[in-house]
Amino acid sequence: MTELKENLKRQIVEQLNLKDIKPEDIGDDQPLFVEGLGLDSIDALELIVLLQQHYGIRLARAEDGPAVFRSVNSMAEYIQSNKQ
Amino acid sequence: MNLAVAHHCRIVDNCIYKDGRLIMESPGSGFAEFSESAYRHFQLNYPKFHKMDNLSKMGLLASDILLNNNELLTKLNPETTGVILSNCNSSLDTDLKYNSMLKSGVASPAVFVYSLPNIVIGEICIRNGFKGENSFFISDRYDIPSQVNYINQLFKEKIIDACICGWLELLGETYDAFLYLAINNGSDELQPYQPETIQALYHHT
Repeated sequence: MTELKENLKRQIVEQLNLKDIKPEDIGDDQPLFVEGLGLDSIDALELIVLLQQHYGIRLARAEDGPAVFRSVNSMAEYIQSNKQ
Repeated sequence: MNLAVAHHCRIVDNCIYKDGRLIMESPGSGFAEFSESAYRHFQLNYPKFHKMDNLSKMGLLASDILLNNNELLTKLNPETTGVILSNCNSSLDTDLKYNSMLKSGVASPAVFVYSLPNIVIGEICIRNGFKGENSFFISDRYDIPSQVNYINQLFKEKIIDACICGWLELLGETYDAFLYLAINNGSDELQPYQPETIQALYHHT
């Protein structure tokens, strides 16, 4: 799980072009949107692409998005429970 | 009306000029490296810059340099400050990147949102809070008389009282940005806003 979270942080920084942020600066439970990393709606779409591209997981229900992408922890849990 | 050109900025061939004076030079670098250097050099401190496509990066850089350290900026009314730009290749640079992504099977939403030329206007407006008239014209060459006449009409009809205007062309590693700030009630020290002035500033910078 730790390795998965580290990979996720690196992939988030790369995919979202967060040039001023290092992967290790992102806390496991830090909110990704608004008050946390300050991601926006386009970033949310990029995170959906990230899940598909790197983990082969399609977000089945759009309404699950806010909970799944709340933090690195929630993303990692979703990946663990949905990977083939 | 006393329309005048307050400032102008040019980005071309790895050089940046403000009011005709060379203020940054970064020879030998591609646009991506050059724009990152300029971002750091002018301390833009705007993380969203890194997510933009190259056309928007160039427009944001040029407009920031145009307005930076500018007393006039504090006097601009955001509600009536317009942005009127033009180029010849629209957003083709990003369109081609997006098309290439589609072929590879992984299309990025963050690239797709820049596949319109007027997005750069939105970025400039968001950065500065401008809400005035804006348009992006596509033409095969920089048609200065038409642009100046159109903007003059906007001033006459009191739709705008200041305007970021110019040419913003980028395709691959070929780019040319020329932005200027046209204002009403300019002092006699400023150059009058007319096609001849813009022709001279563009061709002699």
